[in-house]
Amino acid sequence: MIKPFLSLFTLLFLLMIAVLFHYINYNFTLEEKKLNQIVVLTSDASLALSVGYDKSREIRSSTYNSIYPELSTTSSMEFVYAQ
Amino acid sequence: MLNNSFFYFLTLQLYKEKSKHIAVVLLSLVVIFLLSSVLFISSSLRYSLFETLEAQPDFVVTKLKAGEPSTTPIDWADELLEIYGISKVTPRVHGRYFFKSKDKSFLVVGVDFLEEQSHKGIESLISGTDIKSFLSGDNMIVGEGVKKFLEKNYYRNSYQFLTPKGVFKKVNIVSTLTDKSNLLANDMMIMPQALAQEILGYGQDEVTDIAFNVVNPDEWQNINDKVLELHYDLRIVSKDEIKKLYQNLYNYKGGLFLSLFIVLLLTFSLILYQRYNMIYSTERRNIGLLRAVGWSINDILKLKFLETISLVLISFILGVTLAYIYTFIFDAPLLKEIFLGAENLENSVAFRPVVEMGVLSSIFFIYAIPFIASVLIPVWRVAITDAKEAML
Repeated sequence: MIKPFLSLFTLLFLLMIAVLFHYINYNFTLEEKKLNQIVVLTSDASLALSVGYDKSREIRSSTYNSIYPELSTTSSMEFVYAQ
Repeated sequence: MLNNSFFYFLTLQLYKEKSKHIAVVLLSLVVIFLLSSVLFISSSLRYSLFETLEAQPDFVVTKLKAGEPSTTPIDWADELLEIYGISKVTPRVHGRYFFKSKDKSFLVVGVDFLEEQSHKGIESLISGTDIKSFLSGDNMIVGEGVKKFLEKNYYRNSYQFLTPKGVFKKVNIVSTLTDKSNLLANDMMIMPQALAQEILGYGQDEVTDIAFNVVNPDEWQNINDKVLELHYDLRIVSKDEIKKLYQNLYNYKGGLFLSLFIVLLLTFSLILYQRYNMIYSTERRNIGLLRAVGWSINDILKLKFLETISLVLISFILGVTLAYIYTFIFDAPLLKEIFLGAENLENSVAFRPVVEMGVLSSIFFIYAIPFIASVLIPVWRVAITDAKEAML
């Protein structure tokens, strides 16, 4: 293998080691703990998206009550039964 | 054949045609970098969000008026408590406060600090701050984004809210939440519930919605039906529905991935086209020379395969590692705005490193297989022809 390629592969290897080192040493629990504390305190886990005033956190209001205002339909047979 | 002299020849060959290879590697690098960065951001956000959703209450009940969410009577909390199987009923007060002069808004969240769990929660969040003095006056805790924004507008220690009654209400900023919670709390102002009710214009017996848990997960549907029977004008949203909504949101954002994949495929077509063209000029002659000096078809294919796989590996490793550094070390400037937005307060989220090996291997195979095929097929076609003919 010629020298420039040896240097290139060494550089790639070092890059991968640096990434692995960052991944292993990242404090996963601290971030998870802080986020959970917010959820427990506010009972809310919606994202703090940086969107316009009228659109913010609309995930809360985008579902609807599946039965409201569902009322039982009146069929023609009901008039017959009533008579 | 795979001895030292072979590798020496292979690297020499790569080095000789470096200008041609660098162009291909750079092109692939940009595509892989962009695609990996977007996938890293998406995986990280999804992972953090779904993990925090686990801590959220199972159901949220809201009163509807004219089909839109309205203020919910606090008495509904007592009605919910009477249903067997429901636990931890929490009336919530939250809403947006509009900072008119700059067209920005904050999320005002009222918390009942007299509850044991909330009290403990606030203690752990603002360790070092005197809780008694916090609860004694009109005080609030703000997210990092709010703090930065208010400081820019000369509200360093307090903020004057204008209530719907037209009265100014001064609230002191006691503490700022850590940047580790920016994903949820960047635009948040946490304050006592009564104060939030006053600022948002709620009555004392009104809340935004009521959250509750169901002890037995198998009873979710049953409880859902029982709650729906309480009032006609209520809406109930379960944690699962919220999860599905976020999933849909990511699918929407997935449109971007699709466009990047198209760019990726276009690049491969370009590489393919370039490779097909080159095989009929200099490379054709080189293959002919190698065949003339005694190389077998197998040897030539091995050489070209290793040459191509080296380029594929170099561009893939470089692309993915640079994407990792960009996303998880530099927190993805510019690209994060696709996911988090940039219309309201500036949000500097620290992305949690999440590497999904399945996604990475898919990118690798989508990228590598057409690349290798685009080189080996024409090389094989030339290698099987007569050496003299190939050199012409």
